[in-house]
Amino acid sequence: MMRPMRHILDAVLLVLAGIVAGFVHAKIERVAIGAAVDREQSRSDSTGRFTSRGYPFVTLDYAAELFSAHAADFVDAGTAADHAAGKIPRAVHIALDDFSSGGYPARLDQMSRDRTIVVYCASGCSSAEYVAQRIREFGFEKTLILADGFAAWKEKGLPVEGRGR
Amino acid sequence: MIHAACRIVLGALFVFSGWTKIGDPLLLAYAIRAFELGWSDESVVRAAFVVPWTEVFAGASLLLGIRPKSGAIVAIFLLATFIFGIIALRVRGLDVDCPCFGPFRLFCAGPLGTCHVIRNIVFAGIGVGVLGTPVDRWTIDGVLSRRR
Repeated sequence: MMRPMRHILDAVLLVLAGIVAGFVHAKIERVAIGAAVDREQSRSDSTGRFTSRGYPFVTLDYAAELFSAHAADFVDAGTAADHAAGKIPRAVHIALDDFSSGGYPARLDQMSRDRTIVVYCASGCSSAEYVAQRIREFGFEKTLILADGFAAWKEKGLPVEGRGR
Repeated sequence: MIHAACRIVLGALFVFSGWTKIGDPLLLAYAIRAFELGWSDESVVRAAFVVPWTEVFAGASLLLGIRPKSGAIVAIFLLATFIFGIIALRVRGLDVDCPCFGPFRLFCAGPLGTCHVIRNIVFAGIGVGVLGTPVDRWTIDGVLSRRR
């Protein structure tokens, strides 16, 4: 009777080890992403663009200029619930799973390949990078990622639609 | 002998499966989000990091023979979760690419479906083989207990 209990207890320990390792790994990746973006942001060019880990970013200030000049389309790469709770006005929702199984999000048809697209997610999240990458693969070369995400946009008092998330 | 064969095969599969996913956890995040569990982005990404590490630990436990039966319990638990998850996806008519072995396709191709369920049942069967047979002598546990 004691042995099966011991096996189960050790199994629980293995799962706990997996949880701890997963959380630490997620934390390190997030820190690495954040640090790289912060470092590169200081080197952004006069149009507010910079590249970090191969991804093209745009600074918050320049994204705000693009927004007020109606010079870019905005894409919310967060969850449907996040999007419903709050978004940058006029932003279209295109999430990670819209691309699963090689899918092409129909909402991309509403956009022009000649215009700049700014993709964002909550903050410090990787989904914007993945969504931006997939969008570029469909020929939208002028796709940029909003540095610091929606949280910084909201914090700066820039226009927001909805209650906020 | 049966125990050794089962734990080495299942352990190698789990270490390989976990390791390929650790390289690109967001591949798994795609699949987790397809389940439409209503989780936040944060939770989905965390789960996408936790599952592969749990697979690696379970696989390593089996492969090295450190508490192999506990590793088998974790492996069977994960496989059962995957089986129910795939069935739930099929019932809802959702097509999701299998992130099971990262970019590799092992035994099954195409979106998650019947082949993946059968494959996971076979893997779980191997796990039951580890649980139901006496621990072999080539485990680290075995070597340590002989030294005592």
